[in-house]
Amino acid sequence: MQIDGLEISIGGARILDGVCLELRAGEILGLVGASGSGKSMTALAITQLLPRNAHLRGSIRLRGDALTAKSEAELCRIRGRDIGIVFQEPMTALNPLMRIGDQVTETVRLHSGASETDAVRMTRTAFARVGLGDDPESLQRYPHELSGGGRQRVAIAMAVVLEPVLLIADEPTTALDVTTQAQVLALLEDLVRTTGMGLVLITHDMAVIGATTTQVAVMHNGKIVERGATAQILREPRDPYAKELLAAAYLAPKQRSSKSEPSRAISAPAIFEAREIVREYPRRRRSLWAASPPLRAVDGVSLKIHPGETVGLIGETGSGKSSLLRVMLALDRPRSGEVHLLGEVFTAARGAALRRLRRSIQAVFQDPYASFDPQWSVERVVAEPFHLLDAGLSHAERRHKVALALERVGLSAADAGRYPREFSGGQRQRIAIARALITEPAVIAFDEAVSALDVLVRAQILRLLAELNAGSSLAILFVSHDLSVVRSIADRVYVMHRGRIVEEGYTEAVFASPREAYTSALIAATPTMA
Amino acid sequence: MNTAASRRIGLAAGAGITLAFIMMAVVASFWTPYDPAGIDIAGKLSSPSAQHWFGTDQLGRDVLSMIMASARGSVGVAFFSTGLGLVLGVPLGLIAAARSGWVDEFIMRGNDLLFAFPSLLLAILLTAGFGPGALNACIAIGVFNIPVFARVTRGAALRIWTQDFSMAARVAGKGPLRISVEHVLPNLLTLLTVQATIQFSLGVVAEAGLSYLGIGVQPPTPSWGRMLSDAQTLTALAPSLALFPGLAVALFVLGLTLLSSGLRPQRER
Repeated sequence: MQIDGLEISIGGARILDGVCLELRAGEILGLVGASGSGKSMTALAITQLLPRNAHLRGSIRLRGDALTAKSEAELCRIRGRDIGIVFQEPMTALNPLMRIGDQVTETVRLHSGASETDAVRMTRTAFARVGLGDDPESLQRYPHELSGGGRQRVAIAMAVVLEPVLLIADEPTTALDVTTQAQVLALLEDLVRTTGMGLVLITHDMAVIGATTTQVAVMHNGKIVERGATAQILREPRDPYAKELLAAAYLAPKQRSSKSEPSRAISAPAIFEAREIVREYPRRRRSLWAASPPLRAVDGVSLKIHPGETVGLIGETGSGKSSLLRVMLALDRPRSGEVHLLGEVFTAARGAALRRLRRSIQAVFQDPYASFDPQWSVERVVAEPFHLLDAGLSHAERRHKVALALERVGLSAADAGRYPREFSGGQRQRIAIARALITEPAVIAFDEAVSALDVLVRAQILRLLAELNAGSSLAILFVSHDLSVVRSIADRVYVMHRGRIVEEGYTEAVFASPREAYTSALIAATPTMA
Repeated sequence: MNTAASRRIGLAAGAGITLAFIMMAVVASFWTPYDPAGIDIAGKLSSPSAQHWFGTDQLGRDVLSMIMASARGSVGVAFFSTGLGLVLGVPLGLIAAARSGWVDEFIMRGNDLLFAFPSLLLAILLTAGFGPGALNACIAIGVFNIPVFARVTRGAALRIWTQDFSMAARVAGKGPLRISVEHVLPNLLTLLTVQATIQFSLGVVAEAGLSYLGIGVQPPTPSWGRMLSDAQTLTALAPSLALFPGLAVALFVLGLTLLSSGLRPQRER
């Protein structure tokens, strides 16, 4: 049972160029590379699900059988039975209107012609194996009743129920939180060990590769630049691109600089401070008479940021960190509590005072593609916060300041006349940072600002942030679910869980000896390259 | 055939037909081959000929001239009713999206109320109350365009409000009104153009319908709808009398439909 000498090239614009891969039973092959490197195309080629206009050359063999020579009808039998597939987004991979048990049973019946009772029995076995529970009730649930990790388990159950010889998982954990990611990866490893199937794990995360795979192939521009045993490639990569990728994936914990020494940081007054913030959202009424208690997303959170400090706010999906950030940016009003900025009450400010305070806090958001009005030029985008100035600027002054801000983030003044869509994700995030810098704020809040970026670009942006922060009084609030990123950039961290701050302290102290069980669980779940 | 090429052909054909009808309406304001109201009993019900390309009707009026003159009323009513919907509906939709809560509820439930009425029936009621005529036809049709534009605007605007760039604009201290005008509205223009073209074509049909019932454009100004209703009793005698106004309405609506689907943004990858 093996895939042998898989070689593909796709016509028109060449997307894959002479790709060779090999996978034996019971092995996990990692396929790693930046977005657009051809990882997903390779997966689609193996399953023969390529777009209609793609041309394919070379051969793909499964147990010695050439898949490229098969008819569509034969392929339909093979997919699902011999090859299982798990996609990145667990919500869209499932039919929202079907019970999860029925979805898996349907796959079984379609491919094996098993009777209804047999199919249900096999489904229950598969559910038990992926940790969803084999009692009848758990089969009756709908996708929306499950968490992201739960849905990904259903997708995996569907892929492995017929015990395929090959499982392809395309970024199966990218959309999941660290603790869930650790569980799903452990599950996949366990399945490979017990069933002896081969697993192709596609990811951009080197740490996931290091923690799970035995073999790895590094892809770049449609080519495999390096291939071999994972341990060896992680230790001493030969190809320059693989080296670069590896260096970018390894984030060194931040060295404590002199200015963030405990004594100084605490002696200086905080410039930005949240005091006992409570934020609630109304819930749907149970009936005409009985109102539901509101959902308390942020429950009495206090945090402080001192000048020149980088503070990390760690939390998983639904921990309330985004709700907190919206309150801290005075976009939403808290139910109770106050936000203080430069010694004034930001949450109570109105009119001119609010505008003056807003100048001192700017933000960079997660999605570099949604952060700019598609119809605005870079100059207009970057100059938007000038709206906060009391007196308008002359055209020349505006242009000059925009040029300075663009140069500060490593772009050129000439970029001002272009449109954001002409830039890559990393460059767009630079534009967003330029927009945040333009009013010379005291604090910039980053909301998952590097989560959507590739490792190489992520490393560049993090370096830029460190440069901006070094030797200036600019304070940074860095909100993220990614512990290794926070560790590499923050002086102090707050850990948020279910609307509360469960732990706070100096980054290294928290990472080295966490006091809370939740924090230790998060740290333990984070895959490392070691 | 290549989809991009067929889209271009559809767009060109739609734009061409639409433009031709609008030109016809403009030209008819200055010149028609004959006076569209000029009665010539002696030459009544003549079939198409070199003098009268489309023939004459039961009162001897030139059908071509009547078709041309009718375009004015048709384009005019469709234009003003669509305009009424745009001018009132779009701001309502923008406000509803920008101010959620009771303002949104109030506006949208008001729209639901309007939507709940059968539009043609209410148009008849309106003209019965205020008397028939082109202006009342405009208002009657236009009122029903308001909820259409309000809903389309609100739906798309809500999506733009969730995007990070709206958040960035709020961080830059901009209020809901300014963000609606600077960010939301410009990003809705394509969508609104398409919707306006669709409403325009519905307006053409509605005007023809109201005139057919005798409550739209009033005589002596000709209209396609009334020409059709007049021709109805004479179908056996002169079938071409019903043919030409019917064709005019169908062709104009076809052109507008092609235009709207050509303008619709292509599905993104």
